[in-house]
Amino acid sequence: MTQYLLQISLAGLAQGSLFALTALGLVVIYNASSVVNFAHGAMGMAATYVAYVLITELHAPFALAFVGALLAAFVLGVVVQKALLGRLANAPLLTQIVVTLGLYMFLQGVLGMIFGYNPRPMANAITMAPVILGGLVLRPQDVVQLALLLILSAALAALFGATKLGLGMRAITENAYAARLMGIPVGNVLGTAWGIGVLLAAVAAILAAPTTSVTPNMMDTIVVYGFVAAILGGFGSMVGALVGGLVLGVVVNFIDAFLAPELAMSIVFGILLLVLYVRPDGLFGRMKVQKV
Amino acid sequence: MQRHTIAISLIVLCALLPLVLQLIGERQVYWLFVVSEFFVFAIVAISLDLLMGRSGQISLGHSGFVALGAYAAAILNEQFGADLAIGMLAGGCLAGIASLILGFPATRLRGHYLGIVTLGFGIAVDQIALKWDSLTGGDQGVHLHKAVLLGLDVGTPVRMYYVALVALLVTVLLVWNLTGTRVGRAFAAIKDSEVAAAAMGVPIARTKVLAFICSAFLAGAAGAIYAFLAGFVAPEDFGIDSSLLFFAMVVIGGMGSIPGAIGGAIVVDAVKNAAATVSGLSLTILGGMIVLVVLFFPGGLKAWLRPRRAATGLVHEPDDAAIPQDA
Repeated sequence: MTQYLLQISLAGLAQGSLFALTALGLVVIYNASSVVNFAHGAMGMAATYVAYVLITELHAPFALAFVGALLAAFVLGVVVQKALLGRLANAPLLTQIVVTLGLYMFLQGVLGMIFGYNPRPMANAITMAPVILGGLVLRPQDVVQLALLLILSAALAALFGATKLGLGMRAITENAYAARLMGIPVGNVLGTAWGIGVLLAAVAAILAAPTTSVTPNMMDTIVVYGFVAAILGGFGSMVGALVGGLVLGVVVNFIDAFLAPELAMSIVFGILLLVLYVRPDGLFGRMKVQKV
Repeated sequence: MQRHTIAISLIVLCALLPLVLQLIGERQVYWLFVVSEFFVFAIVAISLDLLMGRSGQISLGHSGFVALGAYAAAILNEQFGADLAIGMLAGGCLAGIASLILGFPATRLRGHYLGIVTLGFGIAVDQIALKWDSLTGGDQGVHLHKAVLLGLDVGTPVRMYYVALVALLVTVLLVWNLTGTRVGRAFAAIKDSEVAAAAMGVPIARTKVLAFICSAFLAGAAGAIYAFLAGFVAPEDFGIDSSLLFFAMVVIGGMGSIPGAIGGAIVVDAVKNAAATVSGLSLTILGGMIVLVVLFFPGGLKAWLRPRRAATGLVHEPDDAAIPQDA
């Protein structure tokens, strides 16, 4: 029995790493620009189509396609920030949410028109057979997924802790106006933050593609779990997003195994609602005092 | 004066439409259904506008409320032969109760949390309707008996058309009258500034939940009419896609205006029906329209429908000498 529980937890961690990557991207964008990017999943999905085209049409090796897609994701993030959100910096929150939702619909519609809604298969990059370790089945792609999450988290920590760019982002989170006065190129830093955030979404989407197949709505479930993970983590805390994503992955896998897989999202939202009743700022969030 | 004339002539036109279709005599039933369905969508758009445009809250799961209303009416009708009036009341109340559960923590949440929570609500209603097949028939859906309203047989397309039209008119009157009342002004105050509203003695949490309940009730009642109109209710009618369509109606219409919401419903419904043959086309057009409206026409259709008044709603906040609003 413990064997079985461990196995489920392991699968949960692997799936949770995708939620965590998505949530981390959301938090990077949110911290910099105070915008919750409802087009996050769709942007990751668009980048996955770049990888898909590079692999199937241009027969690029996976690694090259992966890098190409991430580059495209970064550029997409920068362009969206410059062309859309940057112009709405002083607009009400509702307006900013609206524009990202419009972008979500637009991206989904455009890619649906070009590629159709039939799922397209994406080959797994790692074709190694599962390894059995102490009775547990370890799928190599799961291990790679978790490792990638840890590497990217470490890279983010280094970026925010030790570089001038990261310092700028933290300053903008603190107070964008003061940051501008201190000579931080706010526009460029925001663009970079969006680029990095969308890049993280793209990593999650491309890793998910072999399981979900490539479709215009491939990220719909993952990004919603990403939102939940970010909220559980306090929307703003990177560690919170990381832990939130992994925990949520395990929870979802336990629901799938012991309750009803068809109701997984409903149950997760029930839990979220309960958490928000008790702690409106998430499990890791600090209570924010609204200044007038 | 002029606006009244336009409104009355539009109502007369709508009232005469079945007659006109009768004279033309071609695909009458189809067009009656399309326009009746549009009336129901317009009610939902007005209800969502009440929430977004007037109280400044967001709902990305409004089709969840419509679904609750539709299922409540359909199940009561299938099992007990309930009347359309009872269905509307029950559907509205069920949606209202759901919004109460949802709205209570939501009042403590910042805007984007509310967006995500309502998004999840829409998904959850869909999933539960599909799973709870002993009650809802799962993906087989629920079939309704002939529609009866207060003892009157309204089971023909023409009669259901008039039911939907009257329901839309009643909704317009209700919401229109609400604007001037104490409650309507409290909604507007909260939308402009919660802090200022609280300072003026508006109970923030209660008013926000009230806006949610009013909006959900209308959406639920609209769902009940939809159930009788279609004669059949199934989960695929109420996915996240239809929530986004309602959302698009309100945004394109320009938030905070009844003619705007109705105009938005016309545009979105027309795009949806015209672009139905190419999958993805309607999403592309509507998504693009939303982005363009936000960037370049912040007043939406409303500003165009009412050019003399300054547009409010999606308008960018005046840049108070570039003083940042840090929160």
